[in-house]
Amino acid sequence: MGRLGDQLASNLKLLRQALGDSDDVIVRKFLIGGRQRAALIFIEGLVDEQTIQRDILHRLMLEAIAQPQAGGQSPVRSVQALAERVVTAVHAKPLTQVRQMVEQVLAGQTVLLVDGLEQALLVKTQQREERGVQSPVSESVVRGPQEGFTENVQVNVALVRRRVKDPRLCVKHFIVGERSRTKVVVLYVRDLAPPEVVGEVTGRIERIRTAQVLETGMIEEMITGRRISPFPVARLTERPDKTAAALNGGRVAVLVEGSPGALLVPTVLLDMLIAADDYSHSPAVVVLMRLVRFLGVALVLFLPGLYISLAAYNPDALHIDSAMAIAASREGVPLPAVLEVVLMELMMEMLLEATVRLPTKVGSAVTVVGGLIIGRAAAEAKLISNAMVVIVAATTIGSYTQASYEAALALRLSKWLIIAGAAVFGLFGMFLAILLLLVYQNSITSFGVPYLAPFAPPIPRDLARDSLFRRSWWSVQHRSRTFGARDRRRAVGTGKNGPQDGDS
Amino acid sequence: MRRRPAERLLLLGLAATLLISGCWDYRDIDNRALAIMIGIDRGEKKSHQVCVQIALPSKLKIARGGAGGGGGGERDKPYRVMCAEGAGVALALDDIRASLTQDLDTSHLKIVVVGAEMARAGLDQIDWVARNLQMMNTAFITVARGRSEEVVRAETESEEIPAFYLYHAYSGEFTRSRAVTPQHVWQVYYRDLMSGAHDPVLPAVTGRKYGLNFQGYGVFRGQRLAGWVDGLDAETLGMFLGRRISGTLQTSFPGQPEAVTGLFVNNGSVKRAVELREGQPVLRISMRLSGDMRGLRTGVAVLNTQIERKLEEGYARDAERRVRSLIRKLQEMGTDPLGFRERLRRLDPSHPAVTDEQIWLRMYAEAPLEVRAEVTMVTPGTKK
Repeated sequence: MGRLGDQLASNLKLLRQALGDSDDVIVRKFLIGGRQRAALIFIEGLVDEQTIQRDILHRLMLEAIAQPQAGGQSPVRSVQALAERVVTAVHAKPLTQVRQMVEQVLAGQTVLLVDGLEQALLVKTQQREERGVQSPVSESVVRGPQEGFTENVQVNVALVRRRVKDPRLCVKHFIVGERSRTKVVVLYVRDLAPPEVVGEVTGRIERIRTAQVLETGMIEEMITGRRISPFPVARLTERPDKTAAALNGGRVAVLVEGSPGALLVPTVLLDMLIAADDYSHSPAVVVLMRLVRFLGVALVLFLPGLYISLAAYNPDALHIDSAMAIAASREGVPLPAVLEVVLMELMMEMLLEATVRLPTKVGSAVTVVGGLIIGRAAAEAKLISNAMVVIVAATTIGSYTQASYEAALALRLSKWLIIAGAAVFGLFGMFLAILLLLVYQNSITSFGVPYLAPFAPPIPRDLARDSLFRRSWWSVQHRSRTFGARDRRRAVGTGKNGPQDGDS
Repeated sequence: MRRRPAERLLLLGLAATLLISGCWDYRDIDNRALAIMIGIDRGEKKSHQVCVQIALPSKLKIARGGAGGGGGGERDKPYRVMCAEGAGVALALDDIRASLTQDLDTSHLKIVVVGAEMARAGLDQIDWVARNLQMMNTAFITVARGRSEEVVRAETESEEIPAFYLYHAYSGEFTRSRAVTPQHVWQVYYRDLMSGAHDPVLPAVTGRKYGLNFQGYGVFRGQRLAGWVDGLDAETLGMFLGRRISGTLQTSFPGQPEAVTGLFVNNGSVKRAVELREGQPVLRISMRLSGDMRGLRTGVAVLNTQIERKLEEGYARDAERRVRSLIRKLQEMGTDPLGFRERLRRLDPSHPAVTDEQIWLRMYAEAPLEVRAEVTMVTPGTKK
């Protein structure tokens, strides 16, 4: 595209061509101080017109007359002088490259061209309609901060910075997407995050070659190289506090413009089962909460497969009373147990999908209709057994208990592998599928960290610190080893934390 | 398009699920006829008659939403009994299978009842049970005082499916009856049989009065039923066989012969041993029992230490008398469920009674018995 010339008309023509000659590209021509021709180029809707009117046009057209050095009596000789003396916008800098100008105009900035000058002045006038900081949708907590990320990446960085007021917090900007020019921000704490992880993350982001990036999921796939695995190897969070905690643990956060979330890497499976407010409640309560979540995992994964195995292959493994109850429940049901499970689970998947897609009010109605009325009616009509209704309900509730929506989705998909194993070989097949799942999970790494850590490989100190239970804050002396934080000590130079003699 | 290995594996798994599901052992539970109890008798035309109690889960109250009653007709029962004769248990079962639309499933078989006549002929006649490894661990075996068919067909008030009455009793879930020793799964019986350490004992049951009744023990000599032990003898035998000492003892209140008091024994130990005196085995039993007094039959008297001691002596005499009665009966029947012969073998492996069955039977029948009992009364029957 080259550089600007000194003729306003040719410069305008050059920029118009570069910007695609679209109708929303506005060229506002005017005279500086009533004499020298100039023009503003910006895109309608992306800019704050009040800023343009107040800080640029008004200053240049009317007030510049009174300032001799800035075009009042003589022609303007440099845009730098305009930036220093006339234009009152917060950010203004000279540009010469047409390519840079095009990028900035598309990002919502305004370019000032002056006849006779080979430089243009870039003025920051970007404005976008956006929602304010609201509560996270998918990571709501009972206790703890209620702030969530927004679509504005700068606001998101600010939300994190407010929680990590550390000069060692590094914020690195990248532009990804040849056409979307999406801003991607990488955050890490310099003396905590392992350099190899930081290097790997930034390197992978730099290597991304794509036309457009619209949200974090695309970046996640591109930097993790994930193929068909349902298990997320980057933890998506909507919570700035969780992001700050991860940074403090030596992890790296990736924020993407236009996405209300941060990707935390590396991540492990256990991370998916830990909710944000686990750290706000008493450790005693957390044991119960995590136990419930683990039970939820077990229900989602095993219950449908177990039902098929016990109802169709291995009823001898049931207690006689349970065998009687299941046999009585299945009496008269035309479908075999396998088909019953497959159909009902598919129905429930459809119901869940409908609940997510539909507006909130209609969604709840669908849940009631689908879950209660259709389920009960189907059981009464003997299309399915009562036991099956209980199993599907338990499975669904189990998936709702998960702290991460991605983890719940992964579980829901893994469940089908176990169903398939049970359908083919009964209990034997079910355990084979579970083994397969474990082997696969054991093979996954997230930026070099084994996915099943700290269980496999076992990291006893981390297991004791924060796994099925968590230790009290005052007794936590070290950072997690799982993510390889460089500075392991959590409380530097304060000695032993916790209650002292005489404390009550 | 060239598919990647993971996709191929996924497609293969999907195809396997759809195409080969049910190629092995797949049978829905509602398509299985769950046999809960089986009775084995001598047949009229063939060597074996087998009666099977099959559960009909859909007719259970729980399946009908708790609705009880229903007239109690044959068609409303939550079970049915099917009988067939055959040259063996398996063949008779095949005959029953032929009459069913469902697959006869014996994986939940809980009770095997052997008819008295069949038991006298020898349990080696029904090795079908012993060949089923799973059943050996899960099925309780019992012996009928008459024909096992009576037991299989008998009804009970407390359980919808009569087999569960016996099952819960033998598994120790609801009864503390001293006539029921909750340990006779077939495997235990079989272990006793094969070890030779002592003769087997099976709980006896009848299907005559009030539905199903526990009635003493059938005691065996090897594979064959030798006789029955009833009443107080059965209770005393239960004290030897049970996992915990339990029973009742009686004596008269000192100075009041008509005032009989009972002691509920709930703790203690019973030891048996054999001694050789001049080459002859002497059977020795020593008992230390303790329990609570359970009231007086007539009148109330004031207890003191002296009276308590006399009561304890009285209970000890009753214990001795009961043991003597039981052992005498066992000696008469020539069975050794308490394992005296094994104790003799440990004492003198070359003793002729150990090596020769006939000599043992003769010596056992004539062996003197020494019983020593000590009883401690823990509470005099009054509780807060």
